[in-house]
Amino acid sequence: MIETLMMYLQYPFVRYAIIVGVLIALCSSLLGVTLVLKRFSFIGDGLSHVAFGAMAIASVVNLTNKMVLVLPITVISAVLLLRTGQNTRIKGDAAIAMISVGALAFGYLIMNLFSTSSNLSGDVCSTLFGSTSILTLTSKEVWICTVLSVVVVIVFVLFYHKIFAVTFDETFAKATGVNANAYNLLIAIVIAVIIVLAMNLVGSLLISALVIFPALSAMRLFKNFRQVTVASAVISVICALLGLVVSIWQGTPVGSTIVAADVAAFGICYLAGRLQGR
Amino acid sequence: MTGTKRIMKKAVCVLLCAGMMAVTAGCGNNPDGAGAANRSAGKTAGVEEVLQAGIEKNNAGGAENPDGTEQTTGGESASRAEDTGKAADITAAKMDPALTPDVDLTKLSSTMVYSEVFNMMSKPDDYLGKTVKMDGQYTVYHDDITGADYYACIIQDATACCAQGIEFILKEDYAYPDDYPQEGEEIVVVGVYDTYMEGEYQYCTLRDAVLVD
Repeated sequence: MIETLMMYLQYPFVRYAIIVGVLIALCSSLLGVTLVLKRFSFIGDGLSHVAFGAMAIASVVNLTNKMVLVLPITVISAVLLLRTGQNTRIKGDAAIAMISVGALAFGYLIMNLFSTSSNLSGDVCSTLFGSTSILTLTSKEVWICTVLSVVVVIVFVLFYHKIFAVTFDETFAKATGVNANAYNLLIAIVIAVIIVLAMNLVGSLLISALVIFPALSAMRLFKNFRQVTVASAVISVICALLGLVVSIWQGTPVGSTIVAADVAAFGICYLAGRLQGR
Repeated sequence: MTGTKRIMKKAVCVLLCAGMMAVTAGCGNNPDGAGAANRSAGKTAGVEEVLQAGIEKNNAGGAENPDGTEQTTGGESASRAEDTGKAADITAAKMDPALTPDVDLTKLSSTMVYSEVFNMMSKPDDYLGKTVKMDGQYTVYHDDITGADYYACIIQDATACCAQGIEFILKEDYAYPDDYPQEGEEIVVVGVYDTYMEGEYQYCTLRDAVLVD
């Protein structure tokens, strides 16, 4: 087994996949804790479906660089979704559900009606489930992911205390002079970027798992925000690494293998938490 | 002091966000998650695109090419073997299935095979002249307009929704159809990786290929 894995590691695309996979897992887990605590666990799913819809439009209009369209649409959606819940007619969960399924259906519809691709089902399937996108990255894309991941980590570390305040009690944070709206905007932008990047790793249908499972697993073991965040990052990175290695070694689908590892980690953490009496 | 710190943080935040947006917006040619099927339909077309286009063309009554791309301009497959192959000269000396292939796809997992074949399609220059051994499903595409037959070995990715494949041209001592496998049969083929042009598209193929057990 070790021999086989060492042979696979000689392939540049395998090394790229591991680097990018670990970085995306790290970033998504950091923000995952905040999202879970803010009761926005499903926002990753909604935004990824929005990104899918935007990508469908970009494909239909033959944009060379689809990110030019996909990223702004996803960011705007993230901002709108995170601003809901207060003084809105459609409440947060309903808004996410509405945008999520609407974007998914709209994206698939226009891809079917106007697509110029010779392999429509393959395109849709690989966008939804990730397929082997993570194993077909170029060195340029790896650098972009690396830079973005570093930026996300810096933002998180730099604004850790404010994010903490906004996460736990937004009203109190506002009362103490924290510009909660600005920090919510920052969180929304970062989440949108992570979602768009993570589509390469697990596909749009499975992104939520990267956001939710590590955070929930860590919460089974720890109660302190800092400890939960660190544990979430560690669990997420380990699961991503494990999923990637198993997927490459055994030939299983990358995205679902990583998510399966996350689910298994949650099960282990749940049992460990029960044993600790939590 | 606190005010200065706050301003500094705001400035860093704005710069990081701007940088993040700029970097992401500059993502390569195809940074979407649309997968390999989308990517491989670039300058170098894989056999899957040829086959898919053929299916679509047949569905459309064969009147016109749905992609607007010219799929076939060459003659018979035998004559395509004589095209401007860059690896043709080294073929005879190198082609021996008993030899260890330069790229042995039969030893890789399905995920790895799919990714490696994607790389062979997207970066053909890196593989020119290399002996490739692969296993997969035998498929034939017949072009009604030119009468040319295209033989290919198709592999599927782990999610089974995307297929990648490489066309091959068997050695002349293989007689069609007697020495050729049944369509859909699992085959192992060894050949020298090469590219050729048809119309404005570049295609990849395994020249002087042999079928091995």
